[in-house]
Amino acid sequence: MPYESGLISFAAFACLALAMKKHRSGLEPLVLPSEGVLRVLGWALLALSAAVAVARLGVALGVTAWIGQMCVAAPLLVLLLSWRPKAATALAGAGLICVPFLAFL
Amino acid sequence: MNVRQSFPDRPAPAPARALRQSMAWIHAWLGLLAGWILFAMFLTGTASYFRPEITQWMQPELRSASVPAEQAAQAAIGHLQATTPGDQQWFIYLPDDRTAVTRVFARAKPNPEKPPARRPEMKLDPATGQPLEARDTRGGEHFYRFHFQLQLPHPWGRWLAGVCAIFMLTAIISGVITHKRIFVDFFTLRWSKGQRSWLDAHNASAVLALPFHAMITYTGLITLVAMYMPWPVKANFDKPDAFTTAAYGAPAEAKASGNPAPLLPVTPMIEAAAREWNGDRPRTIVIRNPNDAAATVTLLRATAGRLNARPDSITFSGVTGKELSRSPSPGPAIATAGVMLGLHLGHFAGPALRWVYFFMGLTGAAMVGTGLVLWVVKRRKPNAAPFFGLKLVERLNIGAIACLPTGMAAYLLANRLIPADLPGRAELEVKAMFWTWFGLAILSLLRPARRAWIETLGLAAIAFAALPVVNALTTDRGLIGSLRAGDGLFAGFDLAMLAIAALCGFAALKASAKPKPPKQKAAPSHRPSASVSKPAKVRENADAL
Amino acid sequence: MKQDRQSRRTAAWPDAARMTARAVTALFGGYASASALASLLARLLPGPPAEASAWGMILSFLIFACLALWAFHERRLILVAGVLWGSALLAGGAVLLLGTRA
Repeated sequence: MPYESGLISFAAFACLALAMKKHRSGLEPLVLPSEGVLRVLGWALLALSAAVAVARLGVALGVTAWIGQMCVAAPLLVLLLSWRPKAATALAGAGLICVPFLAFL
Repeated sequence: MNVRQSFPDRPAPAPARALRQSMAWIHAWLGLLAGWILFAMFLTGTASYFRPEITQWMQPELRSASVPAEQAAQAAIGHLQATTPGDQQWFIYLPDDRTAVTRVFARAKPNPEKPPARRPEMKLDPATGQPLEARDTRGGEHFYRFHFQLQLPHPWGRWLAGVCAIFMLTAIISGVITHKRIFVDFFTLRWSKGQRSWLDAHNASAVLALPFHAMITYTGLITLVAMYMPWPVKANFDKPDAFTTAAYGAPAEAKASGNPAPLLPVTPMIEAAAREWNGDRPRTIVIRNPNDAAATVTLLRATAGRLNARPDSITFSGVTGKELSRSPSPGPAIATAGVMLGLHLGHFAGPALRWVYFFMGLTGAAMVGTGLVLWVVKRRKPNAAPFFGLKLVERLNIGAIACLPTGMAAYLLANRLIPADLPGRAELEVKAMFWTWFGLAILSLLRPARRAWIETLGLAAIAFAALPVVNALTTDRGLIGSLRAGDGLFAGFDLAMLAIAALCGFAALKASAKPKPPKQKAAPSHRPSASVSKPAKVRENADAL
Repeated sequence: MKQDRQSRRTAAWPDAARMTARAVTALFGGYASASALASLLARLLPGPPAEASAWGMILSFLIFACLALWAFHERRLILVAGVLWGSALLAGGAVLLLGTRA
């Protein structure tokens, strides 16, 4: 499965979005971590998605694939977040959980 | 006409604000002037990431068979030896995992008495080297060529594409300068709010995929840099050939000796090259002066999996099998240009990354499309008759954004509906695309603009949805059969067409939704994004475009 | 707004002419200047000439884009025309005087 990097960056962007006040409501049953925690988590996940891509494909292709997958993950997240914010959040979490399993595919 | 919103006659504001204003002005106008062509370039260019796959789909008679490079090369040479052994040059394009066939092109010896007729390229069975018969079509090559030649006579299409690309580059730079709330609005997209929504959509599609947009625009210019910007070469070299030799190595243009000598088998040469190339196989083989004592065999390395699109090459003697020359390892600038070319073409990308490229391309088309619509929405005044320019732009928007997809679908439909053995059918397919595209654009003039949007988008949805149906009716490779047979390419193609149909249908549905009357007091919204203070929004609106 | 448009229409012709001149200068003057500057860069960069030419070609479009944007940002048309065509002539002349390297 070559899309772990994209799944991780999807989750990373979800964290960064939810770390902003204007994207935090509309998720009532969910209890979100504080903005600071989410921001740190988001940047850490973004770094992780880069590391995963580089580890899989080498530096040159890895960085290319990482940036490319970010360029797709971010618009998808924004589309989903604007339409079904809860589903976007859930998908980000589910994707993140799946990554370790997908890595072996 | 509301032409000069902020440009230059007013008293000078503060420098930063002045910069943003002039950049907003130029962004709107550059984007508009090049927008329609850029939209078509983005859409056909995005399709071109699947150029070999589209070609395969458009020749359903051929089925791919995986054959080692050595066997395909030897089989092709066997065919050429049997048909035209006395040629000047043979070009052999070996199959890979994306192409089903070996392609060969043979150039006859120059004959001063009667110049030989230009021979067409031939398709061969990779395993046996026998010529393959399939319907005549341009395949994915048509979208690829249109993407940078715009179906205009050479060189004007390429120059126009280049002008549009440089407009795009300046529009990207000015757009980034204009958009002062890049990080605040990073994840913001609000639906059904008229101009606000179009601005959000334009910003989101532009900003979130900005690395791709900047890359694809700049590298697009680089692909034709030798044509657009030959002057730095002329500044250093008297002859352009001298630059080519210095940069990419000397071409092995040895003259034929006139003494016949048997051509060695290429398999040992391919194996020798693979040892040099970490096991990579050649993609292209060029044999000069076959069956002559001066015969040479040049192997060009496959570029899949490597960013640099300039292939390494090794030239062997066709008679002794000795290595004669190889391409020099490129310096940093030549390598940079090669990588830029590779990033644009995306040949290095495997299936996964190819889909990423595809979606990024669609984001680009979305950015240009939303920008064009935003231009109109921003300038339309409620309760006032639209001025001529506005009507013109809106009609051109419909023609470019909503009618081109139907044209592309018509090209693919024509491939299935025109009889496979009709002479000149390849040209008919191309004509089907342009007649449909422009015809539909003209017909849409008969309808009010809003209805025209809905109906042309709906028609695009129908046309794309019809593709899998027509495919199933006219070939034995319909969706269900392909799924059952595990034919990923044909099944994937049909499913992709259905997805595009759904997308066009969704767009038609959205266009037909009753526009909300502009309310002064916003209805209590559960979305937090609506709670930004009004004056800030108004100001931002004024600056944004 | 209406008055605004009226006043604009009376002054429309010189405005349009100035805008045309600016657009032509940005497009063609910008191209000429970017070509000349990129060529001068290619001629002056040390190292192998092929490399220097390639750097010139790679950077030329960035130079062009920045020059074109500046041509629309700067209010004084005379200055824009002077800088773009002037730099094209100067840099182009320098390249011609220096001659080729290979």
